[in-house]
Amino acid sequence: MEYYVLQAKELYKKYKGFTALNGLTINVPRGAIYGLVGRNGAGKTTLIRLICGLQFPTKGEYELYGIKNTDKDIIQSRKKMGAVVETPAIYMNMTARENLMQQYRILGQPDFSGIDEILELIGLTDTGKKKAKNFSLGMRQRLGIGVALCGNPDFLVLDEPINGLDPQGIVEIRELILKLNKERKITVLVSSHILDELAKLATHYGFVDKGKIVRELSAEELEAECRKCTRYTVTDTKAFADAVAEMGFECKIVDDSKADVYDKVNITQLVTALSEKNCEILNVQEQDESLEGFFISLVGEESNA
Amino acid sequence: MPDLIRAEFSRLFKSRVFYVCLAVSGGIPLFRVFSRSLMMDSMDSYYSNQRSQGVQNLMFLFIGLISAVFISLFVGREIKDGTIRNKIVCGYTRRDIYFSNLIVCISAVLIFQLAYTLMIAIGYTVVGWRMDSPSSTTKIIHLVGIFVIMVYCALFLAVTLLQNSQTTAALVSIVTAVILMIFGQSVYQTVYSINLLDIGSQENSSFVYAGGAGTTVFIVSDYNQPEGYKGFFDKYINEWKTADSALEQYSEFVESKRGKSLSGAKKGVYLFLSDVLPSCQAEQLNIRGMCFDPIAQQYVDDGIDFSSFTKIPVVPKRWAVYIISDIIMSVLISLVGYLLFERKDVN
Repeated sequence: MEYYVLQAKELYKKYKGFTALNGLTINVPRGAIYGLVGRNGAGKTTLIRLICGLQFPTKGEYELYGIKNTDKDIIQSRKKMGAVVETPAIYMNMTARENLMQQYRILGQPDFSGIDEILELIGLTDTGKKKAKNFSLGMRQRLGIGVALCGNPDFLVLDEPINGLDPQGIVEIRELILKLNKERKITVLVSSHILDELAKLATHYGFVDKGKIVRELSAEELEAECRKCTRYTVTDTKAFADAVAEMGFECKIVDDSKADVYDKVNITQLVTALSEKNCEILNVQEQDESLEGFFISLVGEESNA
Repeated sequence: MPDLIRAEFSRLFKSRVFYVCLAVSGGIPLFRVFSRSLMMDSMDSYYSNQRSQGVQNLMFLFIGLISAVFISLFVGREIKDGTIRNKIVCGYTRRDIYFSNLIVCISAVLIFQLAYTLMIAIGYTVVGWRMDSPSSTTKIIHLVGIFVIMVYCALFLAVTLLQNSQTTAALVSIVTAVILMIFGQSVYQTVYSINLLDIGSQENSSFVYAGGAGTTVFIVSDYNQPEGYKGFFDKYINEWKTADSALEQYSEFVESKRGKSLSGAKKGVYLFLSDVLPSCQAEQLNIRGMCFDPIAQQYVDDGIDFSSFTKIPVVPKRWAVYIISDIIMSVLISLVGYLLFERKDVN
């Protein structure tokens, strides 16, 4: 069994006068919730369109379940996946049930027996004869995921699923994704620029910038990179660094007045040591580098993610 | 692909645009028959000869427009709602998607055509008119009509699937249909500068009347001097005989010879266009399609057993060419449309 559901190598996609993907390489492990992080226009949606077969790479190739995109058997691999690309792909003039029934017909399912389960899973059992055009954005998004789940996929691709949702809608989608991953063992590739939300879901991350993956790492690796520290504001950072080093701890000077210490220090001992060096502590704050901070450090300050 | 076709048919029979187009296709002939019937009832004897004009089978004239509206809205809905993505993502090939849509669209437009024919028949039955058409004429006209429908469906499906917006698809399709209709009429009028004329229906007439593209009627020659019109017209003789072969009614239809008023390269281009343009073929079918003629009622009123009459069919002479041309056009348009759709970036 392939360890990776999706692997792309040096993918390029060029439109007229614009390069959307510029040699992107990605590896999505089986069973992961893979968070694709990047600013608007970084290439997240283009990558998703390519792997869904909606568009074709200008150069490079990718594999789905070990089958190359140039192989005609890629069609068989696609039957194992479901996707919501940008907006939910649902018939607005149909009810939730009718939308699922239509997708069942398209897939050639022998009966509609799984529809009630999907409706319950996405929380749309009580919508009755209400047409999708009268649904809220969150309901449409959940119905879109429901349609994507119709073929019992192993791999779910969700492009910005929480865009435009209210806080309640965001929580519902998050819980749904976690449920699908844990209970149904579905591998999920989810793109977003709302990093804090992604941090609550993802087991793996790929940071996209200018059409490339600039860093790919697991949640554990990211946690290690974003480890907690205590930020001290002091009158003399050099004296502070010397005192911390003498106590046997690691310290990182941030600027002229701030320094981070990555261990728990005995404050009384530290203050005593600093007083001998004529250094005063002005402020102490617990600090942890967020996903956002990590992302900015990777792609630069101009990010609007 | 069979699953996809079944799914699309299921969507078709729930589609509002399908039922609106069906209602329009069925409603137009009913309206025309009843309005014509009311008009005839109010005519005095002076105009009674106009009863022979009957109600033209106009379906083929606006089938292009109906196809454009229906296909752009029905298939365009998939683009608007993004549901075409679901088909691609779950593993259908572009070929499956393209040709399943083509099959469903052709079927739907054929249903519109059937509704038109059924409704005109019902209308005639209700107002008590007889259908005065040799079955061979009707069969050929409707056979050619099926192939004309195939060309229109192939064209508007290609136009729709190659757009990224339902609105653009509808706009481009409708404008194309209108341009084709106008252009087709123009080519037809140039190639067949004078239309059919029913000489025999003009009681005691000694003149040959002709209609410019079926509208303005004017005298072109003395009927007793055939050399005056035979150079320009082909003549069809329509004889209605009783069962014992006694001649009861005799009439002649004349038609201008194809491209008589043209010459050189222009003639070649126009003759070619008149063969390949579906809208130009549709004009032919409409002119020939006066297949439900209330003049029959006149004979019934006069006590003649109309059912025993035999008639000589008036069919488009080049119907076989039209069918071959339509098959080639449908295949070519579908092939080009499919190849472009195969490479299209779907959003």
